[in-house]
Amino acid sequence: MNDDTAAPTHAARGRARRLSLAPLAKLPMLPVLVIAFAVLSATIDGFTSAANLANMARLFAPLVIAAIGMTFVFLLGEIDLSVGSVLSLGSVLGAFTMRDTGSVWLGALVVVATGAALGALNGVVIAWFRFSSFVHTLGVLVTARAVAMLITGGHSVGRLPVAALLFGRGSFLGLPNLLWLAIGVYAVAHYVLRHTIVGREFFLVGANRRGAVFAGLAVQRTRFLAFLFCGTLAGLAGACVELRLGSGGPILGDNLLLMAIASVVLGGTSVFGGEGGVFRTATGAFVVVMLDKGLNLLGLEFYDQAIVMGLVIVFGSALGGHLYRRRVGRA
Amino acid sequence: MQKTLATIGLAALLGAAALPGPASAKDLVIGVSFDKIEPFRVAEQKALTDAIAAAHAKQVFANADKDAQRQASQVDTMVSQGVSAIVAIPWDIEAANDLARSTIAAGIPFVSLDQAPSDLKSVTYHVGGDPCADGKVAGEFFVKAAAGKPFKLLELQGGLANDNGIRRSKCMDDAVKAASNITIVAQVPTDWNPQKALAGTEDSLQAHPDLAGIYAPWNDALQGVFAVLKEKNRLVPVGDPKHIVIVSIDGTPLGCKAVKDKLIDLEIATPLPEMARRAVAAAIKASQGGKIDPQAEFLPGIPYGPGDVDQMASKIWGCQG
Repeated sequence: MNDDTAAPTHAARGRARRLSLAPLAKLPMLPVLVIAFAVLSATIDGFTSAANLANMARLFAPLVIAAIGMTFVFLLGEIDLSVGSVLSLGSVLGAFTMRDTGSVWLGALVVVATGAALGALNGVVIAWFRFSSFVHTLGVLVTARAVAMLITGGHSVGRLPVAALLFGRGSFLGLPNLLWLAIGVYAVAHYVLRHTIVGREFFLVGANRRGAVFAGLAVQRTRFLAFLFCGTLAGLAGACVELRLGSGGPILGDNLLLMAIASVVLGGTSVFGGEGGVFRTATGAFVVVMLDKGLNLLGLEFYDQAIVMGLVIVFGSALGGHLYRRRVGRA
Repeated sequence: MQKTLATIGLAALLGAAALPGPASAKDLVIGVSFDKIEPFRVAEQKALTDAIAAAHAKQVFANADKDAQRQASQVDTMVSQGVSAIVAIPWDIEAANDLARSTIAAGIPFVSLDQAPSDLKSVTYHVGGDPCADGKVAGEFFVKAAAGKPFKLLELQGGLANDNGIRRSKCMDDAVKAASNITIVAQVPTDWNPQKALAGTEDSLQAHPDLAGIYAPWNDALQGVFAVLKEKNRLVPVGDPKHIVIVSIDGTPLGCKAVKDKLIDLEIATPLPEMARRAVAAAIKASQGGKIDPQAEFLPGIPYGPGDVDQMASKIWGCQG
């Protein structure tokens, strides 16, 4: 045994610690995810059963799709509060289309198109008319929900073609169809953010908008695209929920907004922009779904579940922020 | 590359689809799925727990917290755990149809309680209150209270996305329709939210100081209504000239106390213990292969007021204890 291995220098220990913490700084929820999965698997009978995992996957798919859309917006330091209502309104219009035409695909297209249209509206108003994203999307949240209520009289819209449910609850090559959709969205979003000029602009604009303007980047176009992607993916998430449940409804997306925000923040994407990514969001969404399912299976009361979830969000986001500051501080 | 592999691994982990696990428990296990938790649901949960214990069965409980997708997922989990039967209060009455069908297709009876799915044929058995009968009783009481004189009525509405909310409102409306002296000055959708009940009452009293009646189709609304009436010095007992006629539904301790305090004129109590007992009995019978007949039962509420609350107390679950 030489001295180096027996008693590493202070500098060497520091380097080693930095190296070991480097992935953690970018993915603060990864250890939580691994530990929680191990604990829940060991303590809950059937937690890793194929049926339970498939069930979790169907819950995970729409959440991660909506959260990936939200990631684009967060990367710019903005927020979109309308995703839940966009999902609800889209699901209502899609459900009417499916029911009246008998075409599942046309209905799903309507849901996505509704999301895209509202996302484009958000993008135009926020990027070019310079409205605050918080205030504007809050207005859209209220309005879209009210329109969905008006159209349906408050009722959910069901009795969709059987094919809708068959797809929503079906599997292909051993994976739930909805998970395939989520994987596709993840792959495209990951590619766009990491391997295209447009994708890199999200990080640059989010990190320093003024600098991006001086550098000649298409800042307003980037902001528009973020809200367009967010709305479109909220629509796609709505289609997933609708296909799984066999109904659309004016309050279907009410819980999604907070869960999507929690997924993005827990994953480690900065609320101030310029830092983050879709893999982080996927880990955040998985933690949310796993805790939701696991705590329920453990038999915890609803209130206890909410407390645990809240604490994980608080400490998870604090951990992410701390690790980020350490990393930025070193740089 | 590492991220790609990790993603694929995560996906594979999540996605491995397979058949539900076998039912391992020798005892009967009832999966209870609630749409939300609020005071009335807590009472329903207690009634179900008592009924399940009386039947020497066990229960697995899940609360969907007003999320149809979460409820579907929780029921799917119960199915994969191999419960003997499901007793559910559906959040989304349309989504409940397909959820019930897929559960029954997996060989597990699905009993809906309190809130009926839009297609009653989709479930093994349904038992609930009779929201239409309750609404009708309320409407007829207002007609009687108005006694042919001009009568301004505020109608608070519950959740319009579920059967109870819709029918408690519609059937009350139908009952007062023929009375031309009764004017419904406002119909306020509250989504079962007492705060919205408060705001609706406040607005209506401001616009119509001569308001004569308030229809509060669930007891929790009374919190908001009373707060406003107290502020306006209109929270006075039945018989006082300033009293506003109030009819409510549910039969919770809050409603019973309001009747005993003579603050409301009529309360229609949902027969909760009986509903729970029938739901559990049907779930167990169906899980053992028995035929359920009738497939749906609607139990009308028990009306009572300040004049007969003492005689009726033993029949009203909220007046006990």
